[in-house]
Amino acid sequence: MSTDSDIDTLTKLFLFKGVPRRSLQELLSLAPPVRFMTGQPVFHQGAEADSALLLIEGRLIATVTALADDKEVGQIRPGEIVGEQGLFVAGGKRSASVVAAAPSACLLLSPAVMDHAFHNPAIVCLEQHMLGTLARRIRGTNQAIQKVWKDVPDPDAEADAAAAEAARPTTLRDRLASLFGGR
Amino acid sequence: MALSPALLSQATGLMKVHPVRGVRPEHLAEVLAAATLQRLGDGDALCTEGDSGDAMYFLVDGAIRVQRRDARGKMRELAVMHPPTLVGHMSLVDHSPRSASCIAQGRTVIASLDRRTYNEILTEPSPRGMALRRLLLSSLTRQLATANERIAELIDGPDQPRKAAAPKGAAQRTHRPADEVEDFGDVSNTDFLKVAGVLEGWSIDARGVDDMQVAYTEDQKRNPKNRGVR
Repeated sequence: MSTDSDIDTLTKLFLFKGVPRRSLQELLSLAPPVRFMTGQPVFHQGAEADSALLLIEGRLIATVTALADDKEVGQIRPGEIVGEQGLFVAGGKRSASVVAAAPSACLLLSPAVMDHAFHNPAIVCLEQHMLGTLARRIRGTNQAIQKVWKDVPDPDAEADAAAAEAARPTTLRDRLASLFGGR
Repeated sequence: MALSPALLSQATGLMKVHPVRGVRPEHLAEVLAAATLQRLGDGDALCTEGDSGDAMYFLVDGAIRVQRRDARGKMRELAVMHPPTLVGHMSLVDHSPRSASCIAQGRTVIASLDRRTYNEILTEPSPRGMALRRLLLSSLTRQLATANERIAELIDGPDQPRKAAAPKGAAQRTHRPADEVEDFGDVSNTDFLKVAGVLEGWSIDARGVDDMQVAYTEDQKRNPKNRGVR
């Protein structure tokens, strides 16, 4: 059961700016806040991804496990959506584990919630917010790709220039090490 | 609204290319009905890299060559788009300049959705609003997956133990013959995980959201009347 306090929490989020309280109340009735204690797991890497998560309060940490090492790859703050690809890509898996770094509250957004309340201004705002999130991620990823490729020798360059280029360390490993501060 | 069979056919085709959950073709056809048909000749520019985006396009017939200048200023062809598909929507979504130029290849027909109409439909709590939002979400999700796969290809190495534990995309990569890939044996786990962070966009995403949220919170403190409650 949602409370006035939960609605107040949502009104403080930028993404719900201008959304009527009754719409937020409907959203909360469909996706009641799920609360997590500090250290409690939210998502497990590799688990089935069939819903997205909107953090409304607290703080989460995303970690990726590789070779038995857990590495923090990002923090999630109120107003951020994670795992939204689970809403649009069937059969996907969680790409990182997420744990609560502080007492946290989240809305679990399933496809059923999104479909049932598509007319709700809060859902409209959520979908627009997800568009912005995806666009930022694409730009960021493309920038990373461009950085990696920036130093690739030009195949059409003059022979001398090509030879000089070839003398420089241009292996993919070196480029990545240079980009991400390796070795 | 009476929708022509041609519009419904276009909408159905788009939904095959960009699977959209919870949307019916007639809802998407309503979005297409709000667009303006435009005919281009071979070599005509639809949009130019660096320009501000004032419309998005549905490619109806013909083909579009996507080009951009590389770091040396040389024009490179990135892709040739064939119908039915979307073109030029990123600029409307995030108000960024055109990241590439789009040139008609042969006689081409596009349906153009101008920024004003786009904004109007995008914010509608209606079936056509949902259709546009989810079509874009489906397209961007695929775009992000493709971009991630491109990075994944860059870091993919043969039979490295870390590959098995790599995040998203590792299992989907195409494995190339060992003599075509480079050895990453001396790249530390920390470096690898930094790459993984970029792959997933975690470290990238937080900035934009935080900036908006901080500005909004400060505005609420300064101007209590602006609180987003009706």
